[in-house]
Amino acid sequence: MRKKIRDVRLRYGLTYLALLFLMFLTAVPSLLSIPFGTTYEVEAYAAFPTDVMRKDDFAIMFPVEMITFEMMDEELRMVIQSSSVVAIGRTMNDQVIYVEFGEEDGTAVVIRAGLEKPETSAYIEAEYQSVMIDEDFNGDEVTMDDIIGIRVSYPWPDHYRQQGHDDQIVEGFKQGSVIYSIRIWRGRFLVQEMSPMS
Amino acid sequence: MITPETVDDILTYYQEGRGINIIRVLVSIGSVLIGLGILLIVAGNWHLITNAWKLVMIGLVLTSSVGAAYLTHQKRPYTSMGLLYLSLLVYGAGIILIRDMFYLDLEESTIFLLWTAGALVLSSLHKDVILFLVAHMAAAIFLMSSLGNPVFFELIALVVLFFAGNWFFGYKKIVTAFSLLFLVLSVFYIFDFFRIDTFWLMLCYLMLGLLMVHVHHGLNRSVFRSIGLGVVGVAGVVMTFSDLWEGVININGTWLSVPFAIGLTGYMFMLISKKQVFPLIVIGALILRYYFDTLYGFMPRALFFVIGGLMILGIGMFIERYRKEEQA
Repeated sequence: MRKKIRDVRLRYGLTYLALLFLMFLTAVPSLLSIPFGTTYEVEAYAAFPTDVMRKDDFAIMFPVEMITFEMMDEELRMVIQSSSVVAIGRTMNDQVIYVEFGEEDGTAVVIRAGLEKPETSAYIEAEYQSVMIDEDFNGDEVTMDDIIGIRVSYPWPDHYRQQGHDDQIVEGFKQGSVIYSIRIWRGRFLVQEMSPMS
Repeated sequence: MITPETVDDILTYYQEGRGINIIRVLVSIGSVLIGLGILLIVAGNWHLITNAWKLVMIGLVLTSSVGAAYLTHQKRPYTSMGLLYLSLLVYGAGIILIRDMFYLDLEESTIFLLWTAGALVLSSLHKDVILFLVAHMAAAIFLMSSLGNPVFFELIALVVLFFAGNWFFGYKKIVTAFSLLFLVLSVFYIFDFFRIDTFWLMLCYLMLGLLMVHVHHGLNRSVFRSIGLGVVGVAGVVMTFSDLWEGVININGTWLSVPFAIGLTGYMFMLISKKQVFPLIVIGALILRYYFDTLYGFMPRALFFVIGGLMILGIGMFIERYRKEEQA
């Protein structure tokens, strides 16, 4: 009887340890920062007015050649190189919407948003995913206050698609002697240290 | 000695036990409501909780469910097993939450592989068939979410483990059936990975199905035969489409697909003569496939569907009558 009880205890003990081990095994690399190197999290939405962008809804992909990153006061900041970047989307009612981004103190900001395609040479073809408008909106013109989130993706080069990176940027940039990779993960820019430069 | 009074006392006690205990019901409902309330509070404020606390909470929930399974093991074995199944769900949800919390670069396929590993560990420790079948399902999702990615090492390991499970679980039919279905899915994965034409996939399935039906061995022959017939039936019906043949042979596909369909029908009639019912379903599917393919463009829609419906009913009734005659 005592042996049986011991067996049961052992079995449940092993069950618990095995599940706990396998489950937290996934967290170990991040907790110890071993294989992924230093991971910087750049919350791009913070650069936009908070009443316009909502954290969970926001995901925008800029053409990588327009983005640079700067290390300032141990913080990584995203800089949009172009003075005016425009993203085009389509509303649920099939209306074309554009959002114009600009640069302010080295970070991206929304300059204006509207329902018409702007007559500007800075216009960039962006592949529509979705634009989320406030539920109360029923007017003809969308103002920045009506937009609660934007999801626009830029059409990536084919070789990115073939590598299975349809929904993320993968690009290297140099910072000192280190190469970083950048990608978007759930609406956030993740910057990961890749390898030392040779 | 048990006196008549004692007998009455004991019977009264058990009669009360069998009825609905209103206090227990109320306590149960109350507990569920409190639990649900706590769950809603945590879920609603999940984004406000720090990662460290989230980890602690996930760990606590897992500890509670495994601990409760252990505590109920002696007196309520079914409840205990239910709690173990819950532990497996908590484990899987925990992996996903940890991935989301730390933005880990974990693909869906890796998550389901880890889930499979957990289910395999639990099923082997507790010798539970249901957990082993859940491992099959998680592995199937892993395989389907790995389409196009090289996971051959994992695949071979899983197939070996699943077939070894037949021995471990005393050659249960359901285990053999799930292992075979996983094998069939693995063939699809391999053909998809090497981008081999669908024709060759179907031909491979046909051969595999025929081997399952006709090769004699000692491991649950009836299960092999049933699944083999299913595979032959599906692959056979797909191969009656002329387009499939034209993809690999540069002639009019009808010249090959029609003789193939006649051959398949002959083979099915041969099986029917051996008093098997499933081939009737394949023949029914063949009739409907040709009916839909040939007459859909010509007949008035209403008439087409009425006749199609009558054919399905007729085939169903015929199969039912044949099955009853075989059982009689």
